[in-house]
Amino acid sequence: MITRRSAVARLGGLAAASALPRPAIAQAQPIEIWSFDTPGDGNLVSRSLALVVESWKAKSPSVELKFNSMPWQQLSPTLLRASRARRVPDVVMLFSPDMPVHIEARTIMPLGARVAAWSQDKQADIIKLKQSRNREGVDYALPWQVRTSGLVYRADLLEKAKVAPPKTLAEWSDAAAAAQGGETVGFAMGFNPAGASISGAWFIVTQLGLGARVLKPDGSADFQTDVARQVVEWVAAQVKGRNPPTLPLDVALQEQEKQHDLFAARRAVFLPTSSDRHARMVSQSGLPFEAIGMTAYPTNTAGKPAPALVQGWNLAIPQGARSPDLAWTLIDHWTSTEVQAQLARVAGMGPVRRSALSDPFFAEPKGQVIRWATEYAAEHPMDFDFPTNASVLYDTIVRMFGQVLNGTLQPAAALAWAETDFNQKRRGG
Amino acid sequence: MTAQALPMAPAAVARGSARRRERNEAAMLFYPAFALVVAVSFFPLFYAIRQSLHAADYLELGPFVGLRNFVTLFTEGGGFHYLRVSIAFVVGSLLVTLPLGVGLAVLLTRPVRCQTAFRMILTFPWVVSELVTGYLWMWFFDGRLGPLGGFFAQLGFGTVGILTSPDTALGAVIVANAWHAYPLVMVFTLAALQTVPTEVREAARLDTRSEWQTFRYVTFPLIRGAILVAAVLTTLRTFNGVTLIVAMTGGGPVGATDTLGMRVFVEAFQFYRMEVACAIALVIFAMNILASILFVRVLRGEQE
Repeated sequence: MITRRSAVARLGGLAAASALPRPAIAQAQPIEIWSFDTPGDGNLVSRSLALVVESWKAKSPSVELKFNSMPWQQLSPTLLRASRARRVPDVVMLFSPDMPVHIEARTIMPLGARVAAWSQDKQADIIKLKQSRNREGVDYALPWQVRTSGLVYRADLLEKAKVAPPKTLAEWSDAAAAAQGGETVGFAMGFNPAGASISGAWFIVTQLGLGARVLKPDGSADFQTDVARQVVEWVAAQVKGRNPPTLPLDVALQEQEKQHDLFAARRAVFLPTSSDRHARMVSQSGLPFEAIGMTAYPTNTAGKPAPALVQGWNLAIPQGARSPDLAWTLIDHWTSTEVQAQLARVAGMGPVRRSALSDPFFAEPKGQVIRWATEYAAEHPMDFDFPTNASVLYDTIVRMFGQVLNGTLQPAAALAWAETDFNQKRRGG
Repeated sequence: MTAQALPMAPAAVARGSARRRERNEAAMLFYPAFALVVAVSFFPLFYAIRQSLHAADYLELGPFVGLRNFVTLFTEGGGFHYLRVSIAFVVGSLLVTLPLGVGLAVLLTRPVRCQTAFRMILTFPWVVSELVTGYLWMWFFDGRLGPLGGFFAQLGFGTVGILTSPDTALGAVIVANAWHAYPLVMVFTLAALQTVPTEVREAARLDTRSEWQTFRYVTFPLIRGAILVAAVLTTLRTFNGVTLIVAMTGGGPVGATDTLGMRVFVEAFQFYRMEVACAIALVIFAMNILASILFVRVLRGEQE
């Protein structure tokens, strides 16, 4: 029977026991990670996470990794809320366009001192994303996989039409016209707010490649330029200027996932997307690997492609994390050359360490697109300060295109509208 | 003369303590529930009101700005456009959902074979999640890869992009919403129809010339209250709804399906402009109150 006295005695014993020093193995808390998937053998991401867990177990068997999964779009807003409630994990995955928000909102810790403790070689080896650093160049997160924006194309159809992969905008539209036919359209390219990041990013990098700056140094829009009008008119010409159009209106106003579906259904010649989608397009279309190529976004000069927009999933340590040192040990492990090479080999992830490219996998045809993407990113880095919230910029761009393609506004008027719209909505505007 | 306390009879004491116990029990049942309602309904409402009157730094409350967020919404932020689209979405959904739900309920009261099976099948859309409904209809309306697109192409109409045309996108979303919402109206009407006495219907059948007249002049007035309640619920659900639009159009093309609910989602969770999102949410709240008052007035007017 439990009496009041015995209960008090037991509680006292428990309190005394908790005050005693414990063995190291019992002190090791699990590392809580907020992710958009859990380790498993399903898709490529879950396989990647399983690989990380496996290699971590071999290295630190006493520290468990505890994944808490949520839809990828929810990671950033959930961290903002959790940070306010001070209930954060040890490590959180954030997509690079969401990074400036968290740097500004101070929800994540700077990693500058920890990165600086690495050797010079190790520091120079890792690919750092501009969006994951503040204006002073301090890192707030490190990517664990990267993808480079570019143009996926049907190499078999281009070969049949006897045209080369395009280097300029004029070549691109001619190649699309020559290779399309039947139910296959030239471009799978959409300007719909439901999925604005790919076409929005394409508009930005193409302008940068053509010499425009897109945003002024104070972060406000600089859309009313000859270059911007030229690019908008080029898109409008694909929709309205050719018969049959290389970019039919119903395709141009579809969201980006539908563009991928169209390409995977072998109904499009060109698909602006990112390097991580290449392998998926190969497997979904059922075409041989050689039938689908990838190249940089064209500009107006054959030898000068658009700069590479590199994005990726980052690992960050939230402010208020219980075990920041352990979290950093995990990030260090996750971004190591060995793990990165493994992730590329098994799950086709773009490595964040250049040293990983020496893995024999990258000499195989399957590794060549990833190698190309990594080298292109290194040769043509993009010098652009994204606004705190890139979603506002992308949304404005696609809605501007929507009005031009729908015939509501002419390109010049649409760009003026977009400039006002973005300046109103941007933070600090 | 001063009042003196008189000793109470034992029966009165027992009655008093029983009443106290009853009151305590009632309080124990009421206050936790009330606290829960305050926590999940009123607290967010007060938070939204407060946030809508302030600027915001992500989730942090900024300085007081009065009605500036509302004024900006309706002068520069496209508020009237979102309101117009929302009203069109609600009215369109009601115009499709109510006749469909009531019509099917009336048909289901007929003595037909496999009546239970039909009832179950027709209730099916209700149990499908809105996200799945959205993706199903998006695929169905897809001009190039969907069955409807294939059908139009075979008829020689070429590619018909229903969800990518500003003229037809809202109509398509209304159809999908009506498909998901009609079972609620159907179930309410079906329940109300069970309460109409058989003798009344039979007497009406003898007095009127057609079944339509029986329904119009006898059955309908008796079930009108239930239909109005279903209409209120459908209106609120549609006004607040976001999932279908996110899944099917994302507010596009060219803003054709950009409702107030959709803007709350975009402003709060994509743009992190909590002050704007809260202002729009309060406009939705006001519209819901207005719609509810309107329906209640209609209902009361009829009862009087």
